[in-house]
Amino acid sequence: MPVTIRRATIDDIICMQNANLHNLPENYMLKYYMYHILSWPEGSFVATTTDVDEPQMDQLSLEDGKGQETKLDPNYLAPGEKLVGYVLTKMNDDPDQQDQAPNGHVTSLSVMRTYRRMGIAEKLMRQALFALNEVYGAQFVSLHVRQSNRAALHLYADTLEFEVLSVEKSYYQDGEDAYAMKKILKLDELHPKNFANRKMAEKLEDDFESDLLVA
Amino acid sequence: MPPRKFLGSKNLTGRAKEHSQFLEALKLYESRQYKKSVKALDAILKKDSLNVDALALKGLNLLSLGEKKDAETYVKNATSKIQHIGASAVCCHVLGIYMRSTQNYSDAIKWFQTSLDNGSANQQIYRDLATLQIQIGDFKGALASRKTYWESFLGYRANWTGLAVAQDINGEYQQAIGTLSQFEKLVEGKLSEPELYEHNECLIYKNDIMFRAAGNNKDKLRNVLNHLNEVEKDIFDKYGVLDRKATIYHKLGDSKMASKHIRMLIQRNPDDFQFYKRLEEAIGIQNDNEKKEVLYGNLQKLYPRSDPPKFIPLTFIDDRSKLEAKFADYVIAQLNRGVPATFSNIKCLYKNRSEFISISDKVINEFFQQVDPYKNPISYVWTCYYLAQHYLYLKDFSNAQSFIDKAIESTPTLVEFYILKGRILKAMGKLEEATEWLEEGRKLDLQDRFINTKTVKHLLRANNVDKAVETVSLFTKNDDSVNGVRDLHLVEASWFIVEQAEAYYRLYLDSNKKLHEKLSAVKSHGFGEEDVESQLKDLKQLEWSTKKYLGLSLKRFQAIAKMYRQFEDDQLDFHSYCMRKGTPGAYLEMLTWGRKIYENPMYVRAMKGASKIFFQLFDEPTESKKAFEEAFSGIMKENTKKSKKVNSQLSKHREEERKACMASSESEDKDVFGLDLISSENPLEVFWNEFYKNYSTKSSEEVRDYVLEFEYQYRTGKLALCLAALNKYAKYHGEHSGFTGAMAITLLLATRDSEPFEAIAQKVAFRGCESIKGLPTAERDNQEFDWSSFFTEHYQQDLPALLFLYKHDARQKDAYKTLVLNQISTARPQHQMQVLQYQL
Repeated sequence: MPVTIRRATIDDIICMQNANLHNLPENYMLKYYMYHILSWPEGSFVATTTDVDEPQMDQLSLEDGKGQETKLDPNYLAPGEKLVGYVLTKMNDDPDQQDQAPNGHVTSLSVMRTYRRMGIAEKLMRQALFALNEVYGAQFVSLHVRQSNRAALHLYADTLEFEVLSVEKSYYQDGEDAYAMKKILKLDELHPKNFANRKMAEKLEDDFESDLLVA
Repeated sequence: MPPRKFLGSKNLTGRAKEHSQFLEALKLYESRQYKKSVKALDAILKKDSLNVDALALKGLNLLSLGEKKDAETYVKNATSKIQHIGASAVCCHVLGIYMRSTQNYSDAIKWFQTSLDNGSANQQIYRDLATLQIQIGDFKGALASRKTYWESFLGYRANWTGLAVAQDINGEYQQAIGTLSQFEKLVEGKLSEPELYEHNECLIYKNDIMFRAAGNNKDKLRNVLNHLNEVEKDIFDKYGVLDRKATIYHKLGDSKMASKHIRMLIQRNPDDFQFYKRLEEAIGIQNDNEKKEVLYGNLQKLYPRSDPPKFIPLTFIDDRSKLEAKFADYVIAQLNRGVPATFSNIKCLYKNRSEFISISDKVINEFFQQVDPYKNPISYVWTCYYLAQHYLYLKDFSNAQSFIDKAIESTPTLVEFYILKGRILKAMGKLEEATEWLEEGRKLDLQDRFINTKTVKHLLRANNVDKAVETVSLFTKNDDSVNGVRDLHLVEASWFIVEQAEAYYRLYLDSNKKLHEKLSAVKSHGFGEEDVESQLKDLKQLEWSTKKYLGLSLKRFQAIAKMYRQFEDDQLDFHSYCMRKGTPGAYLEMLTWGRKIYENPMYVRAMKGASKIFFQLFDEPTESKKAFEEAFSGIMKENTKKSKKVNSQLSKHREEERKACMASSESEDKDVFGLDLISSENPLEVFWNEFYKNYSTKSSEEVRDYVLEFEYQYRTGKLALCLAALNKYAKYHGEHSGFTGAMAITLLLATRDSEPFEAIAQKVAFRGCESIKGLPTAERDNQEFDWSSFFTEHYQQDLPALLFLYKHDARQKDAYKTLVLNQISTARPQHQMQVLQYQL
């Protein structure tokens, strides 16, 4: 079951909340997820594992070693579809900041630990940044990250090229400081096709016309 | 229940002073000065204690002040008087708001409606009415309300969108399209920048309705396409446009354009599997493996960083050596990069194409042989990790252990390895030992909540609730609580609440068993040589634990039910909000989601867990309960003095226990241990109200649990409904599936004279049984007939069905027990243990 990246819908939010509760100390009630999805339906993304073949309905049996507990598990959206990561985003709708250019905010991003090192967080973020700019016209996007979270810092600062704006003292409930980070968004730079190839590799791009059935 | 029509309230006529006092109080309420409002109302009520307007408004004020009980008294007082004298429009409106605030939506609708019937000129009521009508699923009523409201306030887009949505959900597609088009014309050329987003959402929404209305009609689909091309420039959601176009071209049979658009979608998101499937279909090569191989070869070159083009060929290539090579490429690259999920990524192949088990065995073991643990430590440890999972899948626990031990030995700092070590031990039934390894892993990264969560899950599976709570509380906001239980309820952490409920239930079973053993030992042999006081203490402690664990288990399950009612209720604000925000498409998805909310896996899991307890409470014969109580209190009476001493010792801890179990604030919940819940006179009714009503009336037919329905109706004595459940089950799961047989046998045996069901119900059920193919109804009264052999010969033997029969057919318990033991002989030790310990 490799991972699929797709737009989040309201059917995903219970599992998104569950993943958030598994991975992060900052948690929200379901209504807050509803508010995101119903206000900015194109801005959030999920990573799920998928059976390529039709889902098997015999998951209730004990013999396959899965048993009932697998199906009635908080990670599962549907038989065979399990949520392993998400990014939840919004547009800045603070009434006191309406003088700013339209801008987005990453509320929460997490990937289950056992699914890391596959580039899932990067892919989720690239989709979200592209959507925030294309659909909502976000000119920049901001986020907060724990000072001690080096993996996240590396993703934002190095891979996604966010800049550190400031350090916000005691931003988190437990007293830890946060980096406030920001990235200016430009549509043609953000298109996921720019990141389809590995760095240094020769870049190939689909022209949508050529015959893919010719070797 | 509001009166049908306005009967004329004497409160408003001839008492001008009171009326103006009332209006003053109303103003105070509206400006949230509830206390002052109450004071003003008291002045009215002092003179006229029958003034319903004042009574109702006082109730609403009290509710706003948090005094729910008093509020209810005043409102009840008001409504009972209204039955005779009628009420003013304002009074009805006030009562409607009260009913809405107490989640009594049907009544709120009636009062709002009555307020309008009684001459209220407040048009805002229509908007509130529509909101409530949609919330309870009265779409027809909602359409009427939205329409009236729209007519009164034509100047707002939200009202046009609201009307269109109401028309849409009533199946009036053309009217909905008309409404949206009319508004488009009104605003043409007048849109300001901030309005463009909602405009774009409404354009795509209109296209969406057109698309749904078109079905498979090609002319209509072309029309939808033309419309899409027309508005495309104003739509921001380019992804949505491409997706819709691809679908339409495919439906129109235009393979070239369909695949072109899907290729554009892939370019935007090459990590979504569904696009690749759609591309195969669009080109029409789903069944041509050779062409598919070429296709994916090309796509792999275009999207080297994406999984689908590499993975999908593994699902269809037949040639074994080619398959091995592709598999090696795919898996070994991930092992070299140290991807923890490598095995998870291919696990479905084991299930869907079993030849992969041997391919994987061969390829990865060969790879392992030539990896140098010192030169390539990353490849080495992750290959060990992979092979440990491979052997765990095959239930080869010793190999699984040996590989994970190698991994840990080589790199003792990787948390993932400890999680897997724990999983293997858990599968072997060594739950305690598993928690120790998780604990080791957790200490390696105290900042990581994921490993904390995993550790807590293992602790709960091992019934170590105290340690679990202590551990989980490291990441919760504990404020003035002694632990994180309350916070976990607040943030709706269903995973924890359900796991804790299940742990409590197992603890209950354990201590109940011990209690009965101890009691019967004392009863037959007395206290013997040992210290009487400590034995009394044991007994009392066991009796208390038994009650407490059962109560807490049900309490936690109930918390899940409450949570899901809250989720359903959370929709309320969005009926208006989404119209203002301009997100009708997402809003419609919410409505569908809301209708299916009680089908969610965690709700079902909690409901089933709770059903076990409620059914058991219902089934327990009063005689045996009485006998137990008499025996227990008898022993205590014989030792009154010592018993009292023990009591005071035990009650010292009670307060501490209470604090540790509190799931909400003191004022919100007095029944911390759930003792009231388990001593209810009518457990079936509580189950219905708290869990089953929402599920059985709101879940869709295909997914409903008919075994649970059978179990429930069996206990209500409605055998005809059991028959209906059985028939539905057979329809969806086949007439030879295990439960079909188990329910048929149980139902047939329930129609015997000796069974305590109504004669008419038995007759109907028996007639139903006669129509079940192969069921030997003539053997019903034959005491010698071997139902267990009949079952094994005619139905699939699955474990849950066998356990069902074990519980229901007392006469053949031993035979079913043997079948169950047979059935679990090949299962993982963990599952065997669960069945042996908690089911038999």
